[in-house]
Amino acid sequence: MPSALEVEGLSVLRLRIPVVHALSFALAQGASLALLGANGAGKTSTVEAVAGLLPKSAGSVRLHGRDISRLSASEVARNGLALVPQLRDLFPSFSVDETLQAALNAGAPRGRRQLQDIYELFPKLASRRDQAAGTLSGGEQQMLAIGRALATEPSVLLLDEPTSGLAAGVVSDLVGILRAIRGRGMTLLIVEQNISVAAAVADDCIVMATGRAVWRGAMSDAAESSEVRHAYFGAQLAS
Amino acid sequence: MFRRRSVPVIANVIGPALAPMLIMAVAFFFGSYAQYVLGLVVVHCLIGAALVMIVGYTRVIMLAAGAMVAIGAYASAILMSRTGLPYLLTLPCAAFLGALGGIILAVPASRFRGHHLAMATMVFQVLVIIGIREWSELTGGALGLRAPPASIGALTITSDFASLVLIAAAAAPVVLVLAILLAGRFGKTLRAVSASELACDAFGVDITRMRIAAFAFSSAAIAFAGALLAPRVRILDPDSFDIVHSVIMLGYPIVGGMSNIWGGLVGGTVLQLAPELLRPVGRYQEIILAIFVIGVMLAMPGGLIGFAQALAPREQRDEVSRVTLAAPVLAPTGEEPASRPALSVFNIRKSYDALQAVDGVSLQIERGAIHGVIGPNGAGKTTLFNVISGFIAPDQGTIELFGTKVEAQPSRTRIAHGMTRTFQNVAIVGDLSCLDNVVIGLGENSIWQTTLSSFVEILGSLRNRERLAAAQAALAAVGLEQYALVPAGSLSLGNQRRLELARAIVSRPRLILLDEPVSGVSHEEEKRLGELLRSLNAQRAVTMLIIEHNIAFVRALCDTISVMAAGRLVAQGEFEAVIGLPVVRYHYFGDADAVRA
Amino acid sequence: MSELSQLPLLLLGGMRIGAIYALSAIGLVVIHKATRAVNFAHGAFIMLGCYGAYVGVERMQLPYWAVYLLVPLLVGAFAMALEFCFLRRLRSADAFSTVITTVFISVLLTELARLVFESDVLNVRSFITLPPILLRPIVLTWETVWIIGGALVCGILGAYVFARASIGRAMRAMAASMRGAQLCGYSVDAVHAQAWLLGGALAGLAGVFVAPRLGVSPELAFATIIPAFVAAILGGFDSLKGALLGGLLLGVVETLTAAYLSGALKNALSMLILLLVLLFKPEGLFPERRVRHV
Repeated sequence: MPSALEVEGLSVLRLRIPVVHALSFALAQGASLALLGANGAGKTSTVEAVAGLLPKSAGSVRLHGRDISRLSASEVARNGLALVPQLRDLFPSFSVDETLQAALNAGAPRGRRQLQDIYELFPKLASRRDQAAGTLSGGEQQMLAIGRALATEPSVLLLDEPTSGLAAGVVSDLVGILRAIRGRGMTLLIVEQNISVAAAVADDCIVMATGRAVWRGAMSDAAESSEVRHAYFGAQLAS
Repeated sequence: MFRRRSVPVIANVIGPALAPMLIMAVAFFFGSYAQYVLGLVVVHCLIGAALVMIVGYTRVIMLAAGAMVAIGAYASAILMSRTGLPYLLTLPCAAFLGALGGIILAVPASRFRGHHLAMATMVFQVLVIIGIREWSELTGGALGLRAPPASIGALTITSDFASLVLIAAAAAPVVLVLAILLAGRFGKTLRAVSASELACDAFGVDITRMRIAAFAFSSAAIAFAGALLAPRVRILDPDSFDIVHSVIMLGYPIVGGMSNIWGGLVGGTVLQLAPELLRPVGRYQEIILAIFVIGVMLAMPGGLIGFAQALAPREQRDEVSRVTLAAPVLAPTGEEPASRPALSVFNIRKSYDALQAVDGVSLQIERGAIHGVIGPNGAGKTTLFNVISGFIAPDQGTIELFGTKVEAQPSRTRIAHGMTRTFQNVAIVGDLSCLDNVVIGLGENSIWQTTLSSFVEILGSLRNRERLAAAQAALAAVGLEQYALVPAGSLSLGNQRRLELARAIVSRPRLILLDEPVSGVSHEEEKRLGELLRSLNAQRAVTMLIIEHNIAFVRALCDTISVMAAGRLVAQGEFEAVIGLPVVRYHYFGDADAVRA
Repeated sequence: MSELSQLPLLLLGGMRIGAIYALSAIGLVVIHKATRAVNFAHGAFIMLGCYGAYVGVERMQLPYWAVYLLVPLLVGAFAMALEFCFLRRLRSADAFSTVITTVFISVLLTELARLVFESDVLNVRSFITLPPILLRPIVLTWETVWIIGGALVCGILGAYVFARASIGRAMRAMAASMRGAQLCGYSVDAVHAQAWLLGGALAGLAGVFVAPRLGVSPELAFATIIPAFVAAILGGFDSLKGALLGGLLLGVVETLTAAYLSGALKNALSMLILLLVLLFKPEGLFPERRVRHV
């Protein structure tokens, strides 16, 4: 059985400078992987290239064995790979309900059930269904961005720093929700800076530095790893 | 010494001014009708040159050229017939009225951008034509107005060739002035404003006034052209200046090319001559024009001039300046004793709706220090930086630069207090040379200073040489001296970041804000930029405040750091001490113990 | 100068032309909202609609209802083709290039029309030629009823499609965040094509409505773009409801000015209104609920 998501030799250029270099990884159905690393390591470029938002200079991306390397972002989304982008990219004037409807309608027309499912997962959103997305708090916006991604009925979900800029209490709420999503059998790829969030959600991790994978292993070993500390804090601080 | 001028005088100043004379010389060999046509061509050359300033350099879609021509033409004709003013004296009057019209039109320019501005010019156009139509006692209304023939003293100019001589002789000096303004610092500053208002604002350019000045100069020249046109068309009627003509004139700089004055001259010539040359296919003229313009937009963004330049060997682009300059080692600016900190920020707050982006931050940077601000994404670092630079007004709090309170002052005055900055997304002017980019960093960017220095540059004054030498020295200080004359847009990202540094240091500031100075550059370049910053700090005694995500870089460079999270400062002090604090680890890294558990 | 007793009739006349302005402005706003392009060729699209009506009704003798169906479709398809051929390539360039290109597309279409149909004003018969309704002291023609009613219904329908139907939601999502809309699965190419189709069709429809009243000539391209812009800007340029109200308001104000003050002032007045709105209320008189970007 092919992997849910298989990335092979992915390279990305930004302004002619390589920001991701020959990166490969694979996720089995229902698995969860964290991409760790300091800012500028190439994590965001990786997930955006996988989702079709950034052009790839080399490499292939396969979703359940099907090559999606050359598809546009909207085609990738319709094929069942959803990204929750770092800046969320919500529609500020849309209400919560309308945002989710927009995502539900993009593919084949579907009904009320999916909407109900999403509101069950995010009770906070259900109570604000008529409020404009732009007026929600940061945490609620993040939930809406995740809800919108789920409304496209993905088989693989990519999350780019879902907890950035959020207060500690909101972060723990979000972690609970992400664990619940995992619990439903979703295949997850999460980009995180916060190692405890990553550990709560993912089993395995890849640590990136300057566009390359510098460490791979189980999430539980990551915090002890000197490579991880090196990637975050620089040279001799690994001790 | 520094012999090279920053303006190619022959190619971009003398040459354009001679263009009307050249057309006149050509006309000498043709018959009367051709001389008549070529007279009109010279007028439209001038209009094209003037439109380069608005359309090309200010990036405004000008739909009121017809109205400006009308203002000049009617002003000249009315002044001659009503007041008996000699024709030659009506020319400057027409230009003055045009400038006035330009200023009236440009008032909205300070408020709008893009299509709203285009529509404001359209409104102006339509209102002027309605005004002419309705004020019939003065203008003859829809019936038209007889324009008296041109005369110099007792001599009435009627023949086509004499008219052409007069037009060319009058147009040449105006083209010369336009060429000097466009090629000189005035034009460069205009291009800089269009490329990055943010950067210009940070270096003391008053963007609003700059745009108004461009409208005034350009409209004056167009109205002047209108006054030249009046005796040639004989009967002025409002329809011949309507919006359709404005649109066609808009085509001049687009078809010709918007990067320098030649584009307007060539565009005006080609589009004015085309109807004559296309006479056999008479009815298709406008269709061919439209197809031509659309084709240029799609396939030839540089216009005819850009196309020709691309074909010609790229001499200037590849040429590396061999300026041998005894680079004056800039002495650190003499300062009063370091009693006050370089920067003192107290209790800054800034919120956006529900989001408290900066929540009561206080910070002091000692003179000569290199201080880093780090923190996870969304911590509020960029907002804090923008508040310090004056781009964003804080809700609360004070900012002192070397003991002067500045929080209520606009960003463009920061440079006068000795503070400059660089930008996360490099804000350079891609089509200006590196040297010209750095010159903007010298400040002194008011309209009068830029206008005056446009003229002075041509003469190669001492003051100007000093400025160029200072800019060259700044380029040398960042290791870009060999790229002085290369367009900034062709540099690598790392070198563009160096260029921003050169622009930031050229005015000898005492404090530089560096916004992610190594974001996006290669690993090796990151090291070299770090060394460069260290040496600038040491040699020039310049204080530095740095936002950077790259912690290894901050660690290698900064004496002290502050850590921000969720809008607050959570820790401050020396790097090693701060980074080990549990609170910093928590915000950055999460809870490592929880992972182990 | 007219008597005050004429007022109801003048109001109706103002609404008649205002309804057409509204329809034109709604098409302009649809295209701008979805694609961020400012379509200076919109007047030319309306002109094409007028010529379509002339050819369909007078030359080909088609039934009028067929013209009302066919012409908007054809103009919409034409607008979509223009987007596909020209504007799509300029999507990554700045707004400047797009505006200039639409300005010259307008010139091109106008001159092509002049080439084919000459500059003469061509007449198109009215849709309804029933005897007028007499409601003393007003004489109400069926044509007036049809234009006010028909144009407003079409405008409201267009606005409804944009606000409620899923195709409209895709356009608004694309306008709000191109990346966000793509991540939902909406294709930029498809949504832009739909927006030009809808905007062009509304312009074509406005042309069919207006043809019997104004007469058909190439001058219509520039004559119709200005009120369309004024109406759209009165409404804030991003609000369909605003464009509708702005169009009606403009039509009524123009008609009243022409009747009670002077005909010449009419054109100047709409320009002055536009200028004042641009200066003092650039968000329009009837702006949409604004939500800050986050």
